[in-house]
Amino acid sequence: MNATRALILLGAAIVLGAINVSIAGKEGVKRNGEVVYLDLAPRDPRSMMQGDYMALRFRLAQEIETSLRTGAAAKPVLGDGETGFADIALDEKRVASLAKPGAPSNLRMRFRMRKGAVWLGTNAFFFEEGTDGRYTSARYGEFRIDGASGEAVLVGLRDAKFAAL
Amino acid sequence: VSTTELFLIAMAIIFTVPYLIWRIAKTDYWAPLVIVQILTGILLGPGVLGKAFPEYYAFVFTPAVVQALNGIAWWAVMVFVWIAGLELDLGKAWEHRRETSITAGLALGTPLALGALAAAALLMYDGWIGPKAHAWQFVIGVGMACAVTALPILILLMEKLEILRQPMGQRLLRYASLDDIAIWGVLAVLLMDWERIGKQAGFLIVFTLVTFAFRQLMRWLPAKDRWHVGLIWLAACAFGADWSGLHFMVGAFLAGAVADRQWFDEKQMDTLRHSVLLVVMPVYFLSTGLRTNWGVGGAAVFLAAFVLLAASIAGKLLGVRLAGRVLGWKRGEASIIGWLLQTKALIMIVFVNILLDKALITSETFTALLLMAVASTMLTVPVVAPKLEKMKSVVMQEA
Repeated sequence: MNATRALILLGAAIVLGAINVSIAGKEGVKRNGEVVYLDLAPRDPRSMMQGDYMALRFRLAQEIETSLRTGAAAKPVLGDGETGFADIALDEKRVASLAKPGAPSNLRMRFRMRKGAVWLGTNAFFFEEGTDGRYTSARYGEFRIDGASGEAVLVGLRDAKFAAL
Repeated sequence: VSTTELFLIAMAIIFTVPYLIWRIAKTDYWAPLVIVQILTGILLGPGVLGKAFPEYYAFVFTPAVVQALNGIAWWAVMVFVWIAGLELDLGKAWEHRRETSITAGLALGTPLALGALAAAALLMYDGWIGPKAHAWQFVIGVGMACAVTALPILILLMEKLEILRQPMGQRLLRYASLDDIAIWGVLAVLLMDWERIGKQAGFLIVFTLVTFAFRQLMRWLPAKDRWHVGLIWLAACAFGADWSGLHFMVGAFLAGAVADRQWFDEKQMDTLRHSVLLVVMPVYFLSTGLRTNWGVGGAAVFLAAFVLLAASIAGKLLGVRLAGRVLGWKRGEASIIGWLLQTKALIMIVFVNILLDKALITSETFTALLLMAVASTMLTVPVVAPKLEKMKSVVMQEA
């Protein structure tokens, strides 16, 4: 094998390795993360660029935004693209809401500011074309949260009775 | 200390530090002066020296000084990209369209694909995608950054390797010219702002119409007037592009791309390129370095730069190797062409500055891409020079 061929193979292996490590990281959070449900307000715009998907907006994001505006959060001013952490409280069904200032919380969720709004890891749920009817009853987003990093991964949607869709 | 004095202190730093490093450490073989200037810009920026000596940084680089430097940097890079547009050799590319399109297509497509995969990996972590980017814009933008060939620096390196006027040098110019057009075209698509689509369409229509008049005028004008009118044209096109929401650099490139290089004296053009690089571009390199950010952690930035470099080099070598197979090149030819075409330097730095300006990438991604561009360019001469020495006959090889 000559040097150029070896370099090509090595380069391709590095890139493929990087993407697989990233995917494995996400899969790890999906497997081992704590289950949390977020209230959502679904919309279903269609986009030429992204195929069929449901645009998601979470009540928790609105709570964090309000808290940032009123200065109740620890770090009130976050610039576009900056990352913050929100302490969250879970009810008996594991539905998340923003923990009250000073109240104990053992779970925190990482978020980013995008265009002045709070971004909780995703704002869209993609589904197969023509299956949109299945998701019209969606009421909660099911997330897995990594306790250490606060990273949240959306794993599915649930209806009002917490049945998986 | 007044702003003027601080500005002059900054200018003295910009011109002294890289020159001394380049001259005393004799870096020219593996790091030409432009590369040292970019590296110095990074070192002088907020992430390295600014962090070690915050007082120095706050004292010299006040907002007023940074603003003044930015003005020079904008014009410097506009002139530089305009010349890059002028240097496109599309006539020759058309004459040899089969081999040029196959080579340029594969040399662009494969690093773009691998770079897009690397970008998809970055997308899974916080801190890399810009606040205004859609995922597809980030993936294509970073992928394209991995696919860039820097035509102006390629010309400088080929001059240094004494192959610019040889058949191989001319072939490389054709491939790089076609790739350059594709890169700026993709950039324009990435920057399309659907809220301002009317303005952008309006700019492109007016630009197309006025271009005909401009070309008639330039043909009619005596040579001594063409430089002056060319610069007016550059400023006007850059303004139009920026006004419509495309970046002023897209306008600068278009201004050069629609002009014929035969209108300008070749020697004067070489002199202008060298003068711009000598007199004003160092300011651009520093202003680029000032924008670097290591917020996600130094190790993460270096790791991302490494993966992007692997995507870029492996993609370029693979693409050109495939082209060589299709076109029946001699053994070793594809390797030399691939290594030369993977030179990134200035055009990629301009490209990623635009992605950062438009908030498609974060300053951490910008830093990783900048490091990747520097590494890619530094590898070129040390890798290619010994190969050329071994295979002198290949340099004279027509496609």
